[in-house]
Amino acid sequence: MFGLFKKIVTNGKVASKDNARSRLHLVLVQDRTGLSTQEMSRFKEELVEVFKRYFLFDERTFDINYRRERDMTTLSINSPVKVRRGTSVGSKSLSSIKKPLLEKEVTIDNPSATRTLSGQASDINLQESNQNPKIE
Amino acid sequence: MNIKNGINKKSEGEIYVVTSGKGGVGKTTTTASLGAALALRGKRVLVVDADIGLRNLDVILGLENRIVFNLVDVAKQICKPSQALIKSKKSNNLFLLPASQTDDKDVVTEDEVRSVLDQFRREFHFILVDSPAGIEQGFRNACAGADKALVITTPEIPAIRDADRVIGLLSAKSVEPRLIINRIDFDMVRRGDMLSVEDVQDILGIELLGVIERDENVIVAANNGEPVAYNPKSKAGQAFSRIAGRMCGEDIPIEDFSNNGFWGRLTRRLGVG
Repeated sequence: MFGLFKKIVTNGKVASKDNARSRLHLVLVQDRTGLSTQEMSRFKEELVEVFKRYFLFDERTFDINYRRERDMTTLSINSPVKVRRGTSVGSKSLSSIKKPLLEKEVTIDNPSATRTLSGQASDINLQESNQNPKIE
Repeated sequence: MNIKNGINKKSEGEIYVVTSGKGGVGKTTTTASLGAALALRGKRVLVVDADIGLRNLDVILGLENRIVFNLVDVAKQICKPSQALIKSKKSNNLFLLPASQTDDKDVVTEDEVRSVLDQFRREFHFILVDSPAGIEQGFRNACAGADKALVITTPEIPAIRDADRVIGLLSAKSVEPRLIINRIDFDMVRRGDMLSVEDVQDILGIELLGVIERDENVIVAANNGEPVAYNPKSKAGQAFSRIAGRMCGEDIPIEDFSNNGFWGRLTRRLGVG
């Protein structure tokens, strides 16, 4: 009830703290990685290219997050992906994956929602979910 | 002045550096007030002004007229360590080691600062070192000898960005950082016009030690040269007291301000919230 009231009071405008959050997020990514905005977006573009080869997903939901825990920076990638059933990542299926995204929805075979790929210097978390990714 | 009274000489005090990267977020106020709040809890506390050339901890404590010797004098062995300490007006447990106002920040080395602090370690339960703004030599000196760090930030982009930088540097030095969020305004948070405690904590990713609300009493206290911790009615004073309690190992939960506004209070009073 008060949530609705709050919405009316704030007139549906984007709260300025959300701007602060996303701007801060960008600056900190640059600070923590030492990469410029241009390098960051090139990195993202290249990653998206790689992801496209293996997954069906919506580019707009592709989110890279850098998180510092203690003396280590963790890189996590959050993107709802649609898993292709019964196809292995291989030569013959590649062409079909390159088709426009989101045309064929495939139900998720595996009930476990999260798969985590761990590496030494960075973790890439692939989450299968239908939710919109949060801006972190 | 006998600073050895009433302390277990076997125990070693903990040295905290109070730092933020950005200037003007409340390092000196926090150092003075936490020092006072810890002293009120019966702890023997030394606050050290490491801002050589731009000292201010003395005026926040109202001790500016009592300075004879300073940190640089102790480091260069111009005076005995105890000669440079100034007892606070209100507490027999709180002492100030002032900075020199006439030297440059690089007049002392990290080793010299470490050796000065080590000489006092056994005499105090807590040593709080007020760091200068920035991440250069003055900051490195202030961190020398520190076991832990209190990183002060406000819920604003520049302060958080600089805090993030400082946290990275502290981690590299193996100094454990804990976070204090200063000058938060919960009305603005509720309106969506200020980053919340959770936002800041989430972004910086270190343990939260305390939250201090924006409070006019801080300025009044500074005008009077008395740390705001001596004003038990002020929100900031109460917040510093709780933080001091946590530093002493007391289990004091972080305040939940999320529903403390008009509607929160009203619904609680009506029993519907």
